[in-house]
Amino acid sequence: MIAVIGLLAGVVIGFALQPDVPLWLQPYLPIAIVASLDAMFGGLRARLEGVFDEKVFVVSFVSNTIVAALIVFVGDRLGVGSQLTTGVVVVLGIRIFTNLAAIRRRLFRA
Amino acid sequence: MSLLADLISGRDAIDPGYAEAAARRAPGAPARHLGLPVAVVLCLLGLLLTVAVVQTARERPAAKRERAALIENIRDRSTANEELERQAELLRSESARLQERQLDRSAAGRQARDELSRLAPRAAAAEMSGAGLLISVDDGPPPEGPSPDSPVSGHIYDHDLQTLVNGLWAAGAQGIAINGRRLTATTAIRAAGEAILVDYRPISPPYEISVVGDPGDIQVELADSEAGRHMRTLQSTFGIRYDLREESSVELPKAGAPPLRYAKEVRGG
Repeated sequence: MIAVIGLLAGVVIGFALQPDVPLWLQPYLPIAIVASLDAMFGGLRARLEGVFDEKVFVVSFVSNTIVAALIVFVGDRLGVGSQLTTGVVVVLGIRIFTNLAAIRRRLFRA
Repeated sequence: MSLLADLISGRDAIDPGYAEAAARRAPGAPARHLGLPVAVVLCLLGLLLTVAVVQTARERPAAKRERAALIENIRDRSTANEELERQAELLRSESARLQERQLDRSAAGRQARDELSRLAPRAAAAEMSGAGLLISVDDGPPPEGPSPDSPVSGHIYDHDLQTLVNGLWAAGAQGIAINGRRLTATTAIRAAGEAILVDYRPISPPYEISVVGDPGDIQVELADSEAGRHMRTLQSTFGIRYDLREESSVELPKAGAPPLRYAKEVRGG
């Protein structure tokens, strides 16, 4: 319950403040979001499997987001930013899919 | 442990940290979950998502606005250009009038004026009229068959017009205009993609070439020249239109003012 409240609070704050994303951060925002979605679905699956751990969730969320942004940053500096972005999106996308599939199997037993 | 194999099997998609944490806990002890930190982190996630959505939604109209501003800019500049052209035309006629008055003051000036008025039409600096020819040139019919842009087509190219115009000069033409654009000795006939540019302005077929000069002489000379043979070959091979018509009176406009190469503006006079 508290998780849903937190999520809603974030959405409300975002809409209320409408903060400007600084220009240097803009390329990393989408990739950070994909990474954090991965962490969120990982946490959801862990919770459904009964192994959820608060500390693991928080640490994986923060590190996932930062590492994904860092990879893109390094790629940008090396001139392969878009390729690395694609790579990160593919890997995280597959992870999200498998996690969602596991959640679906657990919820609907199908 | 291959990353791709893991991804496909889905075995490790869940963070291994969860399993380790579960193993570390004393058996039977409840897992810690859903405290305040989780709420904070999820709040952060919601914030990130919203910011990204808002940002994307905000940038789309910005791009559209930028485009509209550019179009507006182009229109403004075109209007300003037209205004400047009108002004330049006004100044040119003013300068011609002043020149006329100055030259009228002395005998040498009057002689120079006469010479100028004799030479100006031939140099395309003034209108010209007289007996001459009207030549119509147009693309041939599109080639039959499935491939409309095969190289064997009756399309008129810039070098066809160049050849014809050079042939006309050589045959004794005194003034030439293509689709109402007067040619000077330095006017360029070029291609830009499919279009032909005369004096850097695009013209489109059919091409009407007006020539001032002795119609009989020009026709005879042209028919015998390389240019005439070139055009007849195009006509018989590709079916382009190439008609010559004698006219008792052909009117040619004057060309745009040539750029000043040596004259300089006097400042602070």
